[in-house]
Amino acid sequence: MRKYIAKRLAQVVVILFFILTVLFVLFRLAPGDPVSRMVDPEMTPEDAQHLIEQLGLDEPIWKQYLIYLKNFASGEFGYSIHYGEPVARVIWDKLPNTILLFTTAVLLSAMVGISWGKIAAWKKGKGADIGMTIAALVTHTLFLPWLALLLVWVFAYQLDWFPITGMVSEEVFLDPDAGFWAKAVDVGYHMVLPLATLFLIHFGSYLLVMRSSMLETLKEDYIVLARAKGLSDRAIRNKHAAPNAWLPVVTSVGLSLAFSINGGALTETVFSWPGIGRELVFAVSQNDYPLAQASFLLIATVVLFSNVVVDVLYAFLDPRIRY
Amino acid sequence: MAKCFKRNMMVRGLALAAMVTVLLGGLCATPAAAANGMLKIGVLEEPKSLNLWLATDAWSKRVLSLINEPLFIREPKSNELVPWLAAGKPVYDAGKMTYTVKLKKAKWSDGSDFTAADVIFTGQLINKFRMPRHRSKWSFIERVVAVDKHTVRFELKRPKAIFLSRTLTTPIVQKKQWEKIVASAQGAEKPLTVILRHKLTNPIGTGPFVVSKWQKGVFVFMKANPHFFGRGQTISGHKLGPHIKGIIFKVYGTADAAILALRKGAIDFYWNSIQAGYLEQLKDDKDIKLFVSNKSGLYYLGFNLRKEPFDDVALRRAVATLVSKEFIIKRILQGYGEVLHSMIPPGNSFYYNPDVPKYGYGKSMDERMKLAYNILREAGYTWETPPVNANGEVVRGEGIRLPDGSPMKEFTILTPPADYDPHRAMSGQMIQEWLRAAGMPAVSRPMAFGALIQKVKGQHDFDAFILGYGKLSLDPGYLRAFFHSRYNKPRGYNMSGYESAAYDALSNESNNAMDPKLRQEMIFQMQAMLMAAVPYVPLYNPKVIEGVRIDRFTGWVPMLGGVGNIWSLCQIKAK
Amino acid sequence: MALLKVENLSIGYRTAGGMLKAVDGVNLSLEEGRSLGLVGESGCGKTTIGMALMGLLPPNGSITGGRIVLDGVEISALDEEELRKVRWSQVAMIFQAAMNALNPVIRVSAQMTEAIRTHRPDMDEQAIMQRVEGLFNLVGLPLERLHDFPHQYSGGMKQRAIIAMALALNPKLIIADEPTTALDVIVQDQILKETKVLQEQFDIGIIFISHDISIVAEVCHDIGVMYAGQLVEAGPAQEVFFNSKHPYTRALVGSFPTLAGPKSKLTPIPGEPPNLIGAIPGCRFCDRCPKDTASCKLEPPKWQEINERHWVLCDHC
Repeated sequence: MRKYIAKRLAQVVVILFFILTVLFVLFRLAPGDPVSRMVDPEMTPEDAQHLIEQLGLDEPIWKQYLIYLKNFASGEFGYSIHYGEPVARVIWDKLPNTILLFTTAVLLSAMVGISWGKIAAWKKGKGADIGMTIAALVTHTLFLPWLALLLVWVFAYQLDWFPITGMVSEEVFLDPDAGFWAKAVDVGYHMVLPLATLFLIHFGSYLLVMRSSMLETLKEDYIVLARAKGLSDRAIRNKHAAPNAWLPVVTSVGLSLAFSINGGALTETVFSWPGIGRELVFAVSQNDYPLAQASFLLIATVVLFSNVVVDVLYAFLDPRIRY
Repeated sequence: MAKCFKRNMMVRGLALAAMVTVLLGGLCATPAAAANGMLKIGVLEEPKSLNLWLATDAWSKRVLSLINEPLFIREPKSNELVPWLAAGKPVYDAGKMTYTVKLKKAKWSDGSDFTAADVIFTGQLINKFRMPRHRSKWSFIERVVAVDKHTVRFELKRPKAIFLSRTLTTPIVQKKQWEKIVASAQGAEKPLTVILRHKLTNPIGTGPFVVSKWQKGVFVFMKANPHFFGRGQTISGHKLGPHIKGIIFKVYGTADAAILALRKGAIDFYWNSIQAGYLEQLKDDKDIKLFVSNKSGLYYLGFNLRKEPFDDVALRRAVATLVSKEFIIKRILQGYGEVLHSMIPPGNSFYYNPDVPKYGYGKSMDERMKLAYNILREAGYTWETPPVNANGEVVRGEGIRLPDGSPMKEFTILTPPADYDPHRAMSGQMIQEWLRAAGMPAVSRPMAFGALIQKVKGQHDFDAFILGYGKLSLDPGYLRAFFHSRYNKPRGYNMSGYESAAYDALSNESNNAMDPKLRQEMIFQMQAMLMAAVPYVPLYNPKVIEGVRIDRFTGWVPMLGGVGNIWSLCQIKAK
Repeated sequence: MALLKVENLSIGYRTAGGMLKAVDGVNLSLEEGRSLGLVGESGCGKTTIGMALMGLLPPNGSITGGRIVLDGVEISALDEEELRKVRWSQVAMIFQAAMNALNPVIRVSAQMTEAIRTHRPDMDEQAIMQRVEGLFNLVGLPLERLHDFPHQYSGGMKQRAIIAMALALNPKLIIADEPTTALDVIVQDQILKETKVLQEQFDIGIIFISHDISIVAEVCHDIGVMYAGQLVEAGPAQEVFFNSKHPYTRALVGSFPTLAGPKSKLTPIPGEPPNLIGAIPGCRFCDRCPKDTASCKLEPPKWQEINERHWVLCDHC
């Protein structure tokens, strides 16, 4: 097991190096100019060139690449061109917000999707199953910005139950007396609509995966044995069938969690959620190479690692798997 | 089994309790809003940086314009420059080529005195580090000297017209805050980078507000600056406050959300131009007032004069004739815009030359086609099917051939993508159709903004493009940068490749003309030259539509560019 | 009184093509401590009877006639909750394809204890554990393997574990559905012998379902041969095996190698069983029967008594 993990981690490092290089090349090849926003009409071309030199963007590509590798090896990701701050700082300012929203959303939709999928499979063909399957299929195909705007319109604007997007209210965060819990409740309150949107869009896929996996499991002999033993439906469903049906779902949840760190630029934009997804789009559109590279690298790293984690987790969920 | 059931119930109970708490908490939190003297402004992005030298985006500038103040600013009614940090008009000594400016006895937000040293320091910093965006306004300054604590004298290397309108409107930074940073930058390998990357969380300013709290990505809270020099003063007839405790800039990801927030009262003002499509729902809201203001904008169709087919002035004139600016404004801008005939918007009345060729203006599409056809025919263009037939009727033209007899190759009009600016993308489509009707193989292609800029400005690899400026300086100095041959190189601002020795000479001269009347004449001539050669076809200047809630605050000051300006924020009062 | 009485039992499955009569008018009876082998080809209804005895017919299957009485209780009339209580405590089952009958993600010990815990809620954990250990000893499984996962067991061990599981609640009846099919011959033989010993030791009634008549003949007291949903021959094991009357039974005997008997040539049975959807007027075997006469096709056959305990459903035997 330990040897296996070590081997996998070594693979991850090699792949990351590869990705690092690809990212570097891709961003240099992409059209666009990181300093176009900083140049004004009256600036002479000589002064513009001076700015480029100062930002180190005039070096030959291979030299930039070597500097990039060297910095990367020493844990330096460079400075964002537009924020003028270390890339790590920019990412760190926004990443926790993204993780908070998207991880909660993935876990919530996975939990509900899995437990409903379990029940749908158990009641296959009955009303509950048909209802849930249709709901899953319908919500799954909804267009996210449309749904988001609809929820904001109905629940925030018309009914006034929730704030119109955003992550915190200034009343709470400017109040010197507001403690941790007041702030936490405020953030939770702002999170309801984005969570509801993400939940509606995503629970269906978990439900459907769990349902089909569960249906396969229910055909197994050990389920018949469990029933023959006179176990209750609940015990058969939850203790005998579900743990065997989890495996494919675990993969999909694991990867969703990994991808949740890149957030969804769309979700974050429509809900004014200050997350990493919007930064990523900004960085790419404004040719902020260091920021874009580091963000993508972060995503790649998390995805690769969570692949390893999912595989290791498999071994815990299914005793037959040993590495 | 029973144990399992209990645990399950407990988990559900906890989840339910959490949800109820969140809901109740939220319901209690909302009504307490408002009415505490804070103005809430909706914006689409947070400032990228509070470091004045780095910040280039419009959103950072909104915040910074309330902190770092210049010596002179424009007055809303007249659009004239009036003393701001300066105490009076600059005194010019033509013989020595110096300007002397008296300064107000202002204080910085940390309580220290604003003095001549701060102005001198700012100028030195800009020149020493060749500060992007400011350098061109200061490069001709020989030096700045302190006559006394509150008087500065600018010594110019050569006469420069933009001195008054650009140099004297440069925001001034505090020497105390920046000198250490400058000292550390001087020894560095890349000194400019050190300045640009200096992280400033609390810029000291002389303006009406200071940043008090910045919740990353969510809001910026600015407190009224107790040391603001204008407090209680009357400047150019405006009695200044600020009369509000502070401003909260709230970030909304989309215009949809910001407008809902405005209608719901979560913000008092959405500091951004509202697209015409939203006006229907805002018109009937009795708590919301819409301000429609002119701005100094210039949107244009540009040609590449370096290659076929637009190296021919006849073709450029014909295209200019075929483009119906009136139609674009009526249909695409839904009426919120004005036609541009020259490279200077008419709102800039002192420099605007009303007497330039107005290709096809006021004519119907058929008349335009006939005019264009005549221009092209006389220049030697031929067609398989000419757009005007033997009976003088307009038909669909096909297969245009250049004067040398070769068929015109397909050319592209690059525009920004529709999600970046629908107006320009749609205008491109429209123009493509008009040109095709004349038999020209035109293709309008939206392209990501960065790529577009690189192709047009960096590589000069294009046929035609549509770009524009939303906030064009009122000083016409840009005419030189846009069309002087010196700027016709990669990254230079002369994107069309227009080169004319006469124009170069005239623009150089106008740049150094210190007599406004003389300069006006030269700028008029330059406009006429440009409109004869049409390297650009000026299209339109959109209007700014802004929405303001009137139930809590009053006293908004409209001016060129909209009500979102420092005068408004210094004058609005709670109802 | 007989431990189990199956009277005129008919079972049907609703299918897309119509009602499939999987079991048609079967009568069985089993005394305490005795064993009955049900043999026949796949699809003959023997497994369906086993499932009906546990009340575990699939959702589209139902008892359409007759009744099942176990120890005086009419199982076929119980509701789901009552059935649940009868399962495993009264009737246990040793499964066909025992390889997959153990849940791969649950430890064997837990799979054993849960059965006891469910039916004996008053028993404490220690007592349950002692019982499980006792069962392990009984079936000859090493105690140190108690907490293993199923995949760590060999095929024979799994089968023993299932047998131990079946014995957990001292049921009066065990249904063994092809319990040893997937095992190699040596292990199969061993387990069958041990099972027989255990059955006699605990005085349990066993219904042994198999397609292999030679095995059944060796293990069981009695044999019922099933064909196309009907019982076609029934009687003491040795009688039915060595003195088969029904042509189908004869064919079955001839189609399997025997462990003990003399070497003989195996003869496959030509043809296929009839479709069980819709009515079949005559003898169901007549299409494959060497003795086929014209009347067989038209008239249903009647039970013929060979001797007091040996009966056959054939008009020509």
